Amino acid sequence: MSNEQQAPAETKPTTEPKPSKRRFGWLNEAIVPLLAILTAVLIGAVIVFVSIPSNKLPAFDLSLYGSRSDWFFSTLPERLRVTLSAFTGLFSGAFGDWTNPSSIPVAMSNTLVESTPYILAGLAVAVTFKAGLFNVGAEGQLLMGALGSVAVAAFMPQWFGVASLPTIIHLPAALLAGVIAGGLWGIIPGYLRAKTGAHEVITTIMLNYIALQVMDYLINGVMKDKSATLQRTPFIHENAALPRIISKATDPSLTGGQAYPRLFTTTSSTWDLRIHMGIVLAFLMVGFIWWLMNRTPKGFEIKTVGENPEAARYAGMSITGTVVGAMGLSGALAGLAGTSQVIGLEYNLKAVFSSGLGFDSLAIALLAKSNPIAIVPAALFWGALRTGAGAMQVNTGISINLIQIIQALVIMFIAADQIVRWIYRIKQAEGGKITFNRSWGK
Amino acid sequence: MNKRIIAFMMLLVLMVPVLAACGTETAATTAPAATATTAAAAPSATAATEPTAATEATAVATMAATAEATTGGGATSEIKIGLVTDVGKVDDGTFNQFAFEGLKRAETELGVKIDYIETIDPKDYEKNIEQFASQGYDLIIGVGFLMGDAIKAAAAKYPDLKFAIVDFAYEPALANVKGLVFSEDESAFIAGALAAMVSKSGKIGAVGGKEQVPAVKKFVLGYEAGAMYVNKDIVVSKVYIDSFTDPTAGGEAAKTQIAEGADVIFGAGGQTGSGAIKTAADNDVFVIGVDQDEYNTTFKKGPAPKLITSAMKRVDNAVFDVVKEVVDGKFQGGVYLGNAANGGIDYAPFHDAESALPADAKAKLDEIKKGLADGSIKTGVTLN
Repeated sequence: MSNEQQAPAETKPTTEPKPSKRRFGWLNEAIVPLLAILTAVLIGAVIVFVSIPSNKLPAFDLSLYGSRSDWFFSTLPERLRVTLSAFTGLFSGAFGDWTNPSSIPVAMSNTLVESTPYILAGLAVAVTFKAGLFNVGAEGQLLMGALGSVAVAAFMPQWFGVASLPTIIHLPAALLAGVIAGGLWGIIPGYLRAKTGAHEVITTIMLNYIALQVMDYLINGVMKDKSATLQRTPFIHENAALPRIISKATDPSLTGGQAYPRLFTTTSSTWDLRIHMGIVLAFLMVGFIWWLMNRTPKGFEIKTVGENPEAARYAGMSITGTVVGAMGLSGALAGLAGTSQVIGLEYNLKAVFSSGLGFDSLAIALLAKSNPIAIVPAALFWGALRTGAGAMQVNTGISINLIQIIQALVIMFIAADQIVRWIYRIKQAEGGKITFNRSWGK
Repeated sequence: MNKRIIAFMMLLVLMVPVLAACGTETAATTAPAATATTAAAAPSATAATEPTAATEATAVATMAATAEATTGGGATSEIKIGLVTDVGKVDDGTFNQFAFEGLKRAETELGVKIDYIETIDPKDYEKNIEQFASQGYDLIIGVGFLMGDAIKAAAAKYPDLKFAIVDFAYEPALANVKGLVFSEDESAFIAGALAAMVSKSGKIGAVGGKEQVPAVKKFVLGYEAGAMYVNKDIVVSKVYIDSFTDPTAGGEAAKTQIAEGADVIFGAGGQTGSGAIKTAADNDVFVIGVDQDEYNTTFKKGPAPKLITSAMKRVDNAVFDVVKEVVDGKFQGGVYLGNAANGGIDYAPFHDAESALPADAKAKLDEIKKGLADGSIKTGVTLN
């Protein structure tokens, strides 16, 4: 595709090459990630094709097939059918079965719900990539955000000795608590990095463990719901919950007596969706980060410090302030990801909350090349794979690990983009290099 | 252009060895490649003499299958059962696999249609259950204590569907959910008694998974009670590890116990426990498995001269029974308690360790099992 773009530029260089380059600039940026996804999916198809479990195929029988390879070739049509059904399953799990329209809203909503924390945590990592930092701590910041918000959402009324607080106070307080808790967990490694030079990769990994253990301790201790068999906190107060967009009314017997808010209440199962206002928050944050990075002096400082700290210092920018600020912002975004999961989706915090979301967000930021807008499709892709995996397994009996293999291959092809460039003969884009690895050399 | 295609083909060719490695796992269990070809040559002669027999056999098989399908799907449509595993796989050697084996038996013996989803992440439980529920599966089985809330929510949302959950029971019971629970303490009691019989040092060890999970605690305390029943002076060292998926930590804990003099190790905690007994067996002490006969899973059918038994929970029988109830139209919500009395718990055969055990070990264990079944022996294990 890039060849097609370059060909006109070579043949008629005089006919305004600049505007066309600008118009399709995003395509140039997106071509490698898109081809990486395509290649990974194709390899995934080959894996499905070869590893279809025996119960979905005619059994290998020596008396019917002369050899194993005969059996392999005579089952080719069946294998093709199952391979295709793996991908149709993946699609219908993520976006609905289009022959049965009533399944579409639930599937779409599940994909968006799955993508919400990926968008927020992906943004968190992208911000630090821009600042030349490698925040492996999104997981810990996310857990601390979840913990902070659940503390306020479930226990705040009893601190003041009242039965309930109005939504106008309680919901913002819960959101803020999550954002602050995540932000503080991000500021710690940022400060250590700026003041002592302690590498943020090491400190954030360590802080992940601390966050996990702190969460475990609190959930098994003071924050445990004594009436529940599962290790979890009590259900949050209904006034602190992020509303679901459209859903059936909650059944209070399942939620500890709380009736959680919905923007629209329905009685139809088709529209009983889990999608919540967290997705709106996520899109707002995408806009905010794009604006911050591209339209404000602060964003310019972050990018300058990321690309060339010496130049930034020479220009009179505060390296310390920028590093701490970027890590704090990153932590706050990751904290918001955890918060939206707790007060929008699950309504309590379980000891098994640890999710790997924070680690997947590294992959998403890489796939999006740290571009805030591109985070959205990258996160949706990740969410769709995860949502569709179940239907894929029902259709084919293929191990659900296939999804993780495809994800890993995508990341491999992004990280080593020379492979993709070599396969598809794409020239290196100018100035498109990723700068986060600068800090490794120091 | 051509180069590009060639390059891609080469990449695919590069993938082939990787995939071949995947394939040989199944091939190796039936026959190695070399023997397969010779075997293929030999039967071709016999196949030539009686080709009709082979085709006839398959014809009969397909006829039987279609007959079954038509009779089974006569009035009602085919019965569909969905299984959602806990985080893990249907062949991971834990209760996920055991539940799946029960389901596979139901597929062949009862002619039901089975499907499964392996859970990657605890927050997917709800979604995976929904996957089956929205397609109207007749019975949806969740594996594991951690799925308690998710099954409860799905059961409320789909009151017309039936659900079952392994290792969890609801208080009060739900009308359309059957909780499949087991007296782990009785199972471990028998194992603990055997441990006390073979221990020479008078010290034995147990490595458990997460202490907060009731099944784990009942296993470990039952093991202790059983050992004390045989030898009231025995010292039982108990360690809980905060993970079910950390074989290394399990192994380290077992080594510590061995260094302290323990000469029988009981591993009760998923892969963590399996790691503990594997390491302990390598260090030449006797070990006891859990949940299912670990001779077949962890020790890959031997040789395992150090594995004396496993404290078994017959999750497979429980799953099979609940599917049978659905097929027979006798399903009722409530609790199935697998214990010594109904064969829901048991101890595994001694396999390769038989010669190392006291001659009367089996008789004594059966006596204890009988005592547990008729109530004359009580494990005395209670969880706060």
